Amino acid sequence: METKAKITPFQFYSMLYLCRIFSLAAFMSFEGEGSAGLVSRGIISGIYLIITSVPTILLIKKDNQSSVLTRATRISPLFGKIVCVIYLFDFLVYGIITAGRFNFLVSAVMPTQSNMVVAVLLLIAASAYCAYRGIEGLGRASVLFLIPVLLSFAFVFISLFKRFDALNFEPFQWSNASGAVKGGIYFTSVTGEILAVAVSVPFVKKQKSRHIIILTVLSAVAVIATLAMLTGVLGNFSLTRLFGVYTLSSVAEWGLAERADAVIICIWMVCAVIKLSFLLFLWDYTLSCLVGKVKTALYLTLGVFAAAAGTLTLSSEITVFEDFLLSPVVYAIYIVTAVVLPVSVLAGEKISKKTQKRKWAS
Amino acid sequence: MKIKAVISLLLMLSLCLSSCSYNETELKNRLIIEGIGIDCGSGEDIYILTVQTLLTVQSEDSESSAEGSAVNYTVSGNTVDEALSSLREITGKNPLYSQNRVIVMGSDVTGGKFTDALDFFAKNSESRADVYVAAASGKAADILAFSDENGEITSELIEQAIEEGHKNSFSVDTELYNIVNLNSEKNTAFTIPLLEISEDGSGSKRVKVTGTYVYTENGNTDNLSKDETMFFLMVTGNAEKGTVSITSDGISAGLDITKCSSKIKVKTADGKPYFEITVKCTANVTEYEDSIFTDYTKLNTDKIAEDAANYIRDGINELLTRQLKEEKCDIFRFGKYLMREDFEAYISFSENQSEALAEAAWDLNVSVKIKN
Repeated sequence: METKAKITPFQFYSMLYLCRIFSLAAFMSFEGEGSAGLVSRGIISGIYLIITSVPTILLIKKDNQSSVLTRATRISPLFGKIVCVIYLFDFLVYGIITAGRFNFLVSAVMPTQSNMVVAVLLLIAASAYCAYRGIEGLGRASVLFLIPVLLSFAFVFISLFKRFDALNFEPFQWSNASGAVKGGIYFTSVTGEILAVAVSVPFVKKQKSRHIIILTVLSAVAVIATLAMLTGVLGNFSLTRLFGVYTLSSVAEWGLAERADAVIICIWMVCAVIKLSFLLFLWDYTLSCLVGKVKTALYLTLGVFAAAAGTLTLSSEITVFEDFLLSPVVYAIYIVTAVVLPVSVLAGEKISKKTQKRKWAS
Repeated sequence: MKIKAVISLLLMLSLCLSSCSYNETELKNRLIIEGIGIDCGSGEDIYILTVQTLLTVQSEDSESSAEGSAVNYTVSGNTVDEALSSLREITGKNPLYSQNRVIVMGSDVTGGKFTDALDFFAKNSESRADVYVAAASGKAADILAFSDENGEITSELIEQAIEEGHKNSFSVDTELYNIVNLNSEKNTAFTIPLLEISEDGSGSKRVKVTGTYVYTENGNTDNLSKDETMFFLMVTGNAEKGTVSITSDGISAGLDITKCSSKIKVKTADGKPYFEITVKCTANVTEYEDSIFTDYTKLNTDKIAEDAANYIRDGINELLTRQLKEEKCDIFRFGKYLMREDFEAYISFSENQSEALAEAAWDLNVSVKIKN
């Protein structure tokens, strides 16, 4: 497992953007339920993402060579281990969410009599292999797939303009502001790309804070555009089927080209592999920071088993998966890893610096 | 070694996710559904479905009727799902809903049964969200059982008729997801094309769109004629092209409308909704029965445009009066406009929206611009 491989910021942020696209494309109807409009949730999600990315931006600005794990260990070995454990748990949870969405995608929209358990296990195994090969391959693949994925989305959206009906939008109701805020926070918490930034610092060349700003702004734009399209074209119908974006693509047509749902399925497949591979890569790196490096793929193997066990348990039924996704765990892990830990590391470094200065002074 | 592992993994993944499996079904062994007609049954079975399928192999089934390239099956059940499931027993094939072009509702499927019948299609991920929904003036079974002299599949003919009708603004083209969306809006009625088998001048029969069926929570109201459908599409901004015949200075004139747009603003005046509706049309004069070779540059196009605008204005006014005041039926989604532009007023009217809209006033401006 290479730890000194470096990729360019464009490669890295393409990877994160594809991870975001997967979460959007695999948006499930129960994630949008409630009387607060989808678009208002999307806007709040964008604002929440920008606000919660500030601690990570400050981390990068101060030191764009060391990961948050290394910096936490420098403050205190115990604190470093705690941070590692928390990030491990995060990557496992987001990996289970990704594999779980994939599980429901293929079983709900691709009617097949094949065993989907095997397909999910193969996805996890294939992603583990991609993670084993290192971040360089993932970075190059992300750049390769970014343009076709964006063009596919653009094609679907442009072909849906004639079906867009502004009357499907409902005015924002202040009486349901809390529902919109909760929904918006959920949309950001359930994806968690920003968490990966603080951990991936050693693998990215010349990372700057403006890269994170561009990612968060483009992510917010993607979320708002997709939810606006979903509402404007399908209206309330988007929430009657499990995968609204898939249904949206199935009504897209441009000339002779009809039913662009095959395009969305390709996007799902590509982005699911990239996201899961990246999360397993980070799992491996975090575990090596926690207990020390190993020459074999032991940590990845552990990651595969943990992700597989979690996915098969939590995505066995839609109601179980729904409870898991909408539980406070998802909100909590995001706020802890996006805000609390980076702020703690920055505060800890500041305190350490002052303590050292006093020691030198004395 | 690594390359072998990669290739093995990719092969296994492709085998899992493709149909390369011993128990996968070939497409020719699927029952490809082209159209579904839903009528009400009597007794235990609530729904009687006529399912038009693509003829892939010659059927010797006594419960099917094969004409040309389609086979019709008649099934029944307490629910649409139960009825469609019995197709497997009859045909031994798994139905494929993704090619379904149209759902035809019989005239006896009214009230809650109408939306209940569509629930299966709304929730089934295999069923197309943009499948057309139409109403039959009689039995849906008669519409789907119609046999075209050229052997074309009736569902295809219906789909073409709806699309052409919408292009020429005498038919709505309501799709399933529109109905689900409109049904979720309080007090909004929805409109679907009305189908009939009628004879043309030469005596040959065809399935035609003869107007628009209006569905409300309380059931069907008076249907719209083809002209009324055109006025309805003009108000809602969905008219593409159309043909208008008017009399100008005692002379018949025909106009081809090439472009039509509308704008609706909503206010409240004296505690009642007030609509400002503006309809703008661009048209070409295609016929002017004055003398056989009339030079169009010498026509009084301003007068023709004014007369056309008056004709359209009168038609839209009549439609608004009939739908809002007499039928108390909001097919124009005025409630939604009210919700967007004056939410407080919408809330105050929402308990009795149809009564509130019946007391609504409007200012209708229609302008026609002649191009040629």
